[in-house]
Amino acid sequence: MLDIDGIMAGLQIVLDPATFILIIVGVLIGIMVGVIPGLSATMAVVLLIPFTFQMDPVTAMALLVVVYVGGISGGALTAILIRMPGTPASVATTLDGYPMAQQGKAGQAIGNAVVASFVGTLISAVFLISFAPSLARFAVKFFYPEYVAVCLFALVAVVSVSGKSISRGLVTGLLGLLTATFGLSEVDALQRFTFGFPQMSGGFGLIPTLIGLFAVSQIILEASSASRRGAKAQILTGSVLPKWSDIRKNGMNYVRSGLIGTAIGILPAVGGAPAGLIAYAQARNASKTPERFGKGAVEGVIAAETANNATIGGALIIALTLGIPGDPPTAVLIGGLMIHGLQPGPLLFSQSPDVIFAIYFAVLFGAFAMMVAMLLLAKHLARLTEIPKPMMLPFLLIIASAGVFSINNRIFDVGVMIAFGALGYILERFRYPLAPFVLGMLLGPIIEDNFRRLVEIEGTAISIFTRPISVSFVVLTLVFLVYSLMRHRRAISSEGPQAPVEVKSDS
Amino acid sequence: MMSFSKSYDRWIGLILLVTAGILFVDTFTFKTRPFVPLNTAFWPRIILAGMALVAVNLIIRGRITSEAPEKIPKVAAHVFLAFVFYVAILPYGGFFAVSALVGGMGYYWLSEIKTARTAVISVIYGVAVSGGIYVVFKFALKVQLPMLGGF
Repeated sequence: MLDIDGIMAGLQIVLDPATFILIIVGVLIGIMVGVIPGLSATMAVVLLIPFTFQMDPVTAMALLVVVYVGGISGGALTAILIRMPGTPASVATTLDGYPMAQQGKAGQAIGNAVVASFVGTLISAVFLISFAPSLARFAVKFFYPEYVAVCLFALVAVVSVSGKSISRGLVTGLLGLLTATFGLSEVDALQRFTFGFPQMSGGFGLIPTLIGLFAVSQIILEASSASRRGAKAQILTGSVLPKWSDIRKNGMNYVRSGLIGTAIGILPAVGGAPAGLIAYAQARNASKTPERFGKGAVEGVIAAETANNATIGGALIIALTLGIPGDPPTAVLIGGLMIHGLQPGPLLFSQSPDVIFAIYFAVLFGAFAMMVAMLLLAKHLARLTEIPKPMMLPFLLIIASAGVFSINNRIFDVGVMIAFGALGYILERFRYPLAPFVLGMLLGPIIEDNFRRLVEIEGTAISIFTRPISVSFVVLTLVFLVYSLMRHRRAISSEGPQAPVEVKSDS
Repeated sequence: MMSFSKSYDRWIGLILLVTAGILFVDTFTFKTRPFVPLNTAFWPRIILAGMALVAVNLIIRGRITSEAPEKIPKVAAHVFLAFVFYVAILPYGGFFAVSALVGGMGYYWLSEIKTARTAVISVIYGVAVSGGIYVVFKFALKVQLPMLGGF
């Protein structure tokens, strides 16, 4: 049944002049961060969280969601103009976007990428609005066994598809699980791994850890690389308004890529990059002129951008209904929700429908604002790619430190941020994926709490294997695990010591 | 069998195994509550056992993909030490002064051309960035940042 009151409450919040301005500012910040090579949508969202502390939860979530939308979309500009995806999600956009820019069609490529980003977000938002409430009603039936099974499935799925090796995904996943055990145990309020330090009693905060892993590690990477200048972009020529003929001819391409992106967004931690690549491959297969792909085909740009933006709605479906993040930016969004005292999951739909509807409207308005801003300001935004590192990096470190300090007014948290920054840097250099770490850190406490409470109540955990929903997820987990291991072994035996796929999430 | 020096996965496995061992021993110091079927150490021990298994796998197999790791340049260690220095003096120097110092030094160090003019710009940059962020957090967001002389 349509919740008219919830819709009106959400709409009222988003249309409030102050919130509306914040949405536009948030979109612009997201786009700007997305445009700058090396900075990602995750970094944009995580750095904005401290700025939301004084806001009410609904406005805060609306702001963070539009930053996410802007961050994913902004990467297209850099992908087209300098052949470097501004965010990992835009990697497929470089394949045809950059050749178009070299041919003097940068305006046409950007215009189509922007409209595709808008359409992709819109398609996934329709799915989000249509399916999230039903899934939430279904998830209300979840009890301890179901939460344990679903979280285990999510964790196994992430470990299996992240990076080139299951072992490396396992290492980071386990490190994430372990990190979450430091400090107070939620079930019995007893301390673990504090080593006598009172600051450790609260454990490692989610936000300092995430800012360290995703922002500080990137600052270390950029600061220690040889290049100190910003990138030199292709000249943006021609109108950025896409031709109607381009849009008309690609109707099916939009729909197909949008569906692919939404479906992939639902899978935990797969993210925009593989969505764009898969949609690109499908568009090439469906094309009457596949030979043009890779040489400047506008269909390739449209497929990639539609799909990577469509992951937003898909990821939000699972994040809001089950509290399981679809990718690192949604993991940060969940962290933001929790900081504001909201627990993502099925009860959020019944207890705080205004938050849910505000998020829906924020996605829709954010997508529209992103399209208008990028079409109007593309030429100015392109210059952001040239920001020199000496200007950018110290600023990022200082703002990250201030933001992390402001969470609990503790220098300890800034230290945690720096330590996890170093860990994130080392893991990335050694090609250990970060996505399983984040998922492990978020899902670990859910698995532990639910498992221990289940055993406390029932004296055994056997109901995980007897209740229909939980046993279905256990079977799915096993199938996923066996399939991934078999594929991994096959790849090793046929190609030497290399795993079959590399799926880089939007970190 | 690959040597340790050529196999960074093996080194990571060894570090993981030692870490898991130390933390596993520490789990025996956890307090427990009576009448609780699964005590506080239950979950961490499962994770640590898993870590140990994965670590042994890494040690046995050595490098697990053919792709080479990117070397960690010495400069990355310097950047990290600069960050540690920043955090260490933050409580004593206060946010504004320390951030201006580290921000300015960072700008100068990252600049390709180092002249007297760059030094002046670095000072202005450090003060402007630190001051701007300080004003936003202190007055707009009402966040108390570390003050000069500790807090």
